[in-house]
Amino acid sequence: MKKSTITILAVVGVLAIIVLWGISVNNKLVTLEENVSKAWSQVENAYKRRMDLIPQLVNTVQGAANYEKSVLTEVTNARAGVQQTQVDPSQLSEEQIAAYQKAQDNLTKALANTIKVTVERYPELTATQGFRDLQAQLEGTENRITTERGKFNEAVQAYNTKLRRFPASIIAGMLGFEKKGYFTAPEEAAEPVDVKFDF
Amino acid sequence: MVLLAFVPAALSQSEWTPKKSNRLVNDYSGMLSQEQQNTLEQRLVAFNDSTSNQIVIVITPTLQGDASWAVATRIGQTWGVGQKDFNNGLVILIKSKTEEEPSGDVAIATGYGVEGALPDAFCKRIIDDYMVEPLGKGDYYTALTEALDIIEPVLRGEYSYADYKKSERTSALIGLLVVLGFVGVPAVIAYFYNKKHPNNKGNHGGNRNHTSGSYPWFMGSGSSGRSSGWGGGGFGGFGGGSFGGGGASGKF
Repeated sequence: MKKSTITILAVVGVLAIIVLWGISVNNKLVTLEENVSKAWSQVENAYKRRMDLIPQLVNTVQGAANYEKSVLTEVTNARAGVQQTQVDPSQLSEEQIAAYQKAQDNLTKALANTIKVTVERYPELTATQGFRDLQAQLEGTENRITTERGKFNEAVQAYNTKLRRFPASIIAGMLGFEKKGYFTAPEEAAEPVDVKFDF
Repeated sequence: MVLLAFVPAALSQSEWTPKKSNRLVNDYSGMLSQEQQNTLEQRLVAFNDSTSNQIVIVITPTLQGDASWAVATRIGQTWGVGQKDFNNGLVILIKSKTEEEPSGDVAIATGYGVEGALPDAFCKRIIDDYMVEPLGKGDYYTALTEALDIIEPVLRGEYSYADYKKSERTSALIGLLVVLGFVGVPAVIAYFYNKKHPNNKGNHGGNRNHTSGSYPWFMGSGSSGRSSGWGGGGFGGFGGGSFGGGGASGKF
């Protein structure tokens, strides 16, 4: 075999290895990105579930004998704020996630306040089985949100780590993969915020 | 008293989960007698064998500062309670009262697949109406059997063992295709390679040994995985089910 043939074969071999490696990095990133998308749809499901429960809460509170409109202003405004926040599921950039989280966290606070005020003002209403069921559902929904946000963060972490680690980062940049955003814990609340009340 | 906990999404790694065991009844507080544990274990193993639903009971003296629902959900997720394809797992967690941690907590965590059959409000009623009172008296066994008397029939109606068997057949078919892919393609390549290089005898032999060695390995792992889960008698292991935070919690 001629020397030049061996050189050509070696070059072709090395190129083939690089291409194969690139394909494997790409496939790995696609899989991880797919996991992020799946986790995101679960996050959205959990939040949507909460959105769907709010009209029930509104109706229940409106049924109270001495109902005042001001009790529900905060929660209806926060709900409207959430509806204005759109997230492109194919991007999930840091800015989008941050804006989405801000609107949703706002609603979390508004809901907690509304329930607190409701329990204070309408004790006869909150003692009913219907309200207790609604409360259990809202509580479960908050738990789902927390769980799905945690799982989403894990999926993003796996994806971002692969994306940024050398040498895969070279290929990732060339193929147009971009970093995705996390949910963060609010600054004022490093500890879990417990909203406790008796009725 | 009602507790509404709004917990921010945790990125922290300090998430505590009780040590995984290979049993369905795990009393780390010593609140059940050996006989009660065995009775419950047999009941839950039988329920697992007949419906593939996995119910796990954990009694713990501590929550390491976390909320009961969060620990219960993590047990479900990390132990893999329920079958992977159905997520039909359920965790009943009781945090017993101790001197260091005087609060008594109880939580029911539902896997994704049983959220429909056991909505949060239903779980909350089971806790409030059937568990809190006997738990307050220290009668953990009654609290658990009363809860199971409601939960088991509900879960039985959610879907049948037949669905599980059907999916098992599908996965066996996929397994066969994978085996064909893994073994068949290299075999074909090796065949053509050896045809082109008839003098390369050593390589030929090596390839054949490798191929014949990997075939029974695939088959073996597939069948042993199934039989360990359905061996009758004792509990065969957790199925890899997933949890999303569904369920309810309460205090006693």
